[in-house]
Amino acid sequence: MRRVLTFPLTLLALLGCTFLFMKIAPIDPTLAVTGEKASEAARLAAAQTLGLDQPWPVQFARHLGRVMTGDLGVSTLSGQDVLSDLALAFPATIELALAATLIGFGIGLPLGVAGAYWRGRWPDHLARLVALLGHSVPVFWLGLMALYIFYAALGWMPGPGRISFYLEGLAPRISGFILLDSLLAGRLDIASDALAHLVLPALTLGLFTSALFARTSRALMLDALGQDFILTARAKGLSEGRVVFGHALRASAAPLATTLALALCSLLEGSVLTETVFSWPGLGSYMTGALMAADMAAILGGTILIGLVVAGLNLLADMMQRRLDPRTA
Amino acid sequence: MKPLLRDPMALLGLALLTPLLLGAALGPLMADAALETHLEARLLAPSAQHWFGTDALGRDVLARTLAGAASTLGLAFLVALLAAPLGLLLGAVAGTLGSWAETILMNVTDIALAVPRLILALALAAALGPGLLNAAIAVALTAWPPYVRQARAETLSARKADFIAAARLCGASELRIALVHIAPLGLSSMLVRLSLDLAGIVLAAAGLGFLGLGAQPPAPEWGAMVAAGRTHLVDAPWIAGFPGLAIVMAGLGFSLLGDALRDMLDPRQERC
Repeated sequence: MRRVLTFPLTLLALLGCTFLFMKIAPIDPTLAVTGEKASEAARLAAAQTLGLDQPWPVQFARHLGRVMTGDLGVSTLSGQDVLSDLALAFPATIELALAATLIGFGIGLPLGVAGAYWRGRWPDHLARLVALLGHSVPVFWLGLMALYIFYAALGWMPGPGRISFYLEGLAPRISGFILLDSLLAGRLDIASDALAHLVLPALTLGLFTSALFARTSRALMLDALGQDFILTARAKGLSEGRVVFGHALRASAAPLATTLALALCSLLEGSVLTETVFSWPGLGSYMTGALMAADMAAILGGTILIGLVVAGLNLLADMMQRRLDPRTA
Repeated sequence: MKPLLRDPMALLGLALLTPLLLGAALGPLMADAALETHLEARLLAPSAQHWFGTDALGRDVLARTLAGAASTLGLAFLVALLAAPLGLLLGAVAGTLGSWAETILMNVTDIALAVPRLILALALAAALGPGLLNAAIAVALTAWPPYVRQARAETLSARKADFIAAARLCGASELRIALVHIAPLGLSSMLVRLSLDLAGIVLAAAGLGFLGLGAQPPAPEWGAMVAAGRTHLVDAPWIAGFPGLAIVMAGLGFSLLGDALRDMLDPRQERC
């Protein structure tokens, strides 16, 4: 119950932060309306229409009301509604984040389980090495080096971007997910091109997710394998496979679900840097582009969207935890 | 408990960090060399004369990487100095005072924990304007919540202790108890957590620099140098490569040293 209350409170705090940032930013919002050469009177009039003459609490209440109704303002960079800009960019980010999660889960979990089972042997060293690298290598540099090696030097992979330029716009936009849209349209050539473009950014981000999964699952499995119920399972003659996957891994399922949500959150953050490196037209590129142009409405809109998703994922993780582990209910 | 200097991993971490710390210490001496442009010597590959090559303005990448140590590592230490003690004090106060003060503080902390860190730092840095100090403030403001949680957890076990009751009988105020008697107890676990966190702080700081929100050009900063190397990735990969390697060295060094320090100071925790 407490968690359910945390969700709206988190959102309120997030909106408070974005409002505060808007206020401390050294950007005069009336300038965008009136232009540089407007008279003092025209500026004051503009401030009045924008509601800037009201006390802060009133301004904050209005800000709250606008955000609740989906009005995130107009981006000065694109000239569009921030909300429609975000709707255009978000599918690309989800595509990347999901691919990276699949890679991270697929590599990290087996690595962590093997590391815990063969503790102190080479799978364990490998798991710890991956965890250490994920902790220490900057994602933007790894992405650049991957581009240099596999695109520039070896030519194995396509360059930055989500799709080759000559295929751009050829697939009908249905869901915004290029892979899905091109498959729906029956364009296998576009789908394979988009998939090839996805490989490097997804692998780069996926390394960090696999580090997280390797570390967490190794620690959880080490703990679970030392419990009495594992001894019981072995004593009653279960196969090692059943012991490891049926009992030890099952006991770790609840915290792993939380890790999954956590991984998705950090992927959303990591996407800001990765998308910039790979010119991936998602939320991260949108926000960094807005950053360069001091486009506050776009930056804060993106912050609100990511904050909303992260808070939602946290709530979901909590509910899954209760579902999978009856002791915490 | 084993001495830090007998742990091979800790030694490796120290070996990785030493050249960077030397660079940070000698950075001011390098400042001129790091800013000197030689347009006739642009984009030179690594050679005996320029070990790390030169960048698009003919500046020596080695000199810039060494000089950049001061800004990136300095930023990380500044964040550590701001965020960790703040978290420790808030946690000690929350745990000692109890009742509604604790409830409010811990709820605020929970909420701050749930807000995405890098994104918030990015928005804040955008609002404050780019610059090394603003980047430090942005990272610090998002880094304190875990310290509050940890410090409060430590406090809970101490607040019923006899020496706290004795201090209270002597007439010490609650705030004095929190700051003078309880906060020092959490110091060692704060340091352990901090040493484990430093790698992440360095990466966050370099990330902000990469996005153009840290030290401003022409000042050398590792993240910004990697970003500047993007345009010449194909013909001069050393411009982005070497400063990035320096970030990796810092990250690995702090991770290894942090792991070793935890093993030494806090043997209860499982090594992983």
